[in-house]
Amino acid sequence: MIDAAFSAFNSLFACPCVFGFFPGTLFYLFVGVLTGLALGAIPGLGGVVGMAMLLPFTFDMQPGAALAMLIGITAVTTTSDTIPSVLFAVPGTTGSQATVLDGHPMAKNGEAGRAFGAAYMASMIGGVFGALVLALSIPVLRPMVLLFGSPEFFMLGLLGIAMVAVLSGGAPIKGLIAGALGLGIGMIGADPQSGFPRWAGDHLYLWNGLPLVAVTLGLFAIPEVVDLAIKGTRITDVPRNATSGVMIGIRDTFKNWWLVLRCSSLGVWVGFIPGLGASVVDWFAYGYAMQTVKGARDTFGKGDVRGVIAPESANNAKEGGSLIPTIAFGVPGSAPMALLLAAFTIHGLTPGPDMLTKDLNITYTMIWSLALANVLGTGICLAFTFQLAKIATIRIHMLTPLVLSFVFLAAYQSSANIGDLITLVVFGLLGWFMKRCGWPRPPLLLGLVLSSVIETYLFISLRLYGIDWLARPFVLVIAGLIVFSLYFGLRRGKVTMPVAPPAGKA
Amino acid sequence: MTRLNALRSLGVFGVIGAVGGTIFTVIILAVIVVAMAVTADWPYEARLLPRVIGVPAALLCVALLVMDVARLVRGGPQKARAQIMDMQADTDMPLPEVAQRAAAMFAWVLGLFAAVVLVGFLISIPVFIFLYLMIQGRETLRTSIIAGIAMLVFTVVTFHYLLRVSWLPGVFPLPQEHVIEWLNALRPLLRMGG
Repeated sequence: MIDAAFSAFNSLFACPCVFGFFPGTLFYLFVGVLTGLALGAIPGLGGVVGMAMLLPFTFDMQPGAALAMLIGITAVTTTSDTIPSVLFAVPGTTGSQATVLDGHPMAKNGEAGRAFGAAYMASMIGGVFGALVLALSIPVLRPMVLLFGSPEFFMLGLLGIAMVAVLSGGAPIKGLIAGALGLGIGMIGADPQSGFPRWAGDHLYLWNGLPLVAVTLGLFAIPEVVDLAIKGTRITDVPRNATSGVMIGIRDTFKNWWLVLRCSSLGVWVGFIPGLGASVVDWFAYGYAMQTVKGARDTFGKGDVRGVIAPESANNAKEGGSLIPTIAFGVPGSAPMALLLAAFTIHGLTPGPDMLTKDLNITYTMIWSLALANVLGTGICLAFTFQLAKIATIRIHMLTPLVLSFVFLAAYQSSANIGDLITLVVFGLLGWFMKRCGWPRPPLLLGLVLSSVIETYLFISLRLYGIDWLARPFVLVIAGLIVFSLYFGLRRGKVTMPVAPPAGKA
Repeated sequence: MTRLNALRSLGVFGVIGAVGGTIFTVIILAVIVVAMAVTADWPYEARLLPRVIGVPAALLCVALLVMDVARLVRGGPQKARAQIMDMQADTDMPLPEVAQRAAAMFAWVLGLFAAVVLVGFLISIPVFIFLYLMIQGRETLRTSIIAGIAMLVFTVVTFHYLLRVSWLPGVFPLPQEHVIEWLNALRPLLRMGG
């Protein structure tokens, strides 16, 4: 296992090289990090949109390089999203909403640089901590995953969708319907058992199923672009003293190392549980810090640096946690992880036992990529905060047609068919209405991604074991977890939760 | 009746806003019911899982509708919007304004789609960017032209030369075919391979 870890590290620096000298995997990781930083700094766009846009470009890449690029995007959007949160009180992504509470008052007090220093360093430590936990979890998970067969993986797929659906906040019924819709949409095309074209009629385009990239871009990118244009907000200029005092913030992070570690652990745990994730992790960490940090009740919300450190360490650490169920069980807990799972499929990788045995090298490449992306992202943010902040000030009307054109081009890469564009527009409308009507979109995407896996595992289970598989011990345990999460989620849905400000809005 | 009168006073967009969620649920329910009805003639293996998923989904839609209608009829205070694990829509803007702006934006999206279908990507994209910036963005002529050309260059370099995309010909393929001919003629000069 240690050999695989070192071999994966070496593969990051190995050729085939780009431009003759730049190691391929490292280059694509760098591209992913730059894309993620830019998207994180633009309120309203985020890692999902970036991953969906770049996914078609990975079709011809080596699997390690492709996954490194996608991880590079998702790992650092929660680093640069601090910039608009602190400077303009506008969260860059849902993961930095809590950062606004103390980050923006710090900026008003002339301490923006200190807030950035603390946030970046906390993000880096949190991100590397998450990667470390992921690496350490592999020897623990491997024997367990190897005990699982198709019945357990079928149940895990159901558990993933059930948890994401009901934990999608105060809309568990809508979440469950969205998950079911996703499963249904994933079944469009030739049935793997009988070959019968389901809901496809005579349209050959539909026989292979709807392309995931076009669906994802429609569901997530089009609604965000449309909403950005609807709001049409313009962020004013970046203050000139935005980057002074960074070193003080970095020292603050090290002074509060125990808080950083606790909040990072919390972030990993939240990431590990499918259904929680970006929109709650920062609030959990902020609330936890407020309860446990000395004097927090008096100073939090008024520009306390610890109120920045807590959410920032947690939101970067969560990626490591969320990769654990994705890699080991094939259960993505969030929309970015669902896209990563789709990338696995595109590159012929099967999550589960294979990722912990024969493809262990790829798994460790992802872990190294996650750690390196956080280090790179922090370094770039420290060096170029002012320039990244300028991205957030680009006029939305300039950005809209460029992103929209790119989205159309990226969707067309799915299968170079007009059907890709029809899918994009139809799901764009569906995604926008879902967003407006308060329907969570991630369960739909998860259902879509897991649909074929679930169906395949179900039929294999029925063929091999008849209905006896229902009595397998792990199946019963997972069934118990499904019932528990449905009960817990539906009860939780009755309680009205506080409304967090939407990303892109204070 | 008071509740209905209150709804009437909101105007068309206001009513859509107040019952928009319910209308959306009805549409989703209708889609599920039609999708289930279609499975009637399918082989057993093909229809098993769609029905196992579809029937509970339809029942959940009905439950959601009952709750929505009960809330509308009761006329109690609007329940605070639940926090969901997703980007949330800005609810501060008045609904008629949101509807008008959304309609305009989706018109642009459909416009780009129609243009691509009619004349292909290589003509549509620069024209779309130019027109959007001039009309919707109210940018200057210079900025709009530069942005259009910049996106065209990006599209050509990335998608035509590097990814060698097979472009959608469009209903009127001639203009794009000319562009592709010119670009292919330039390929040896740019040493991008034959």
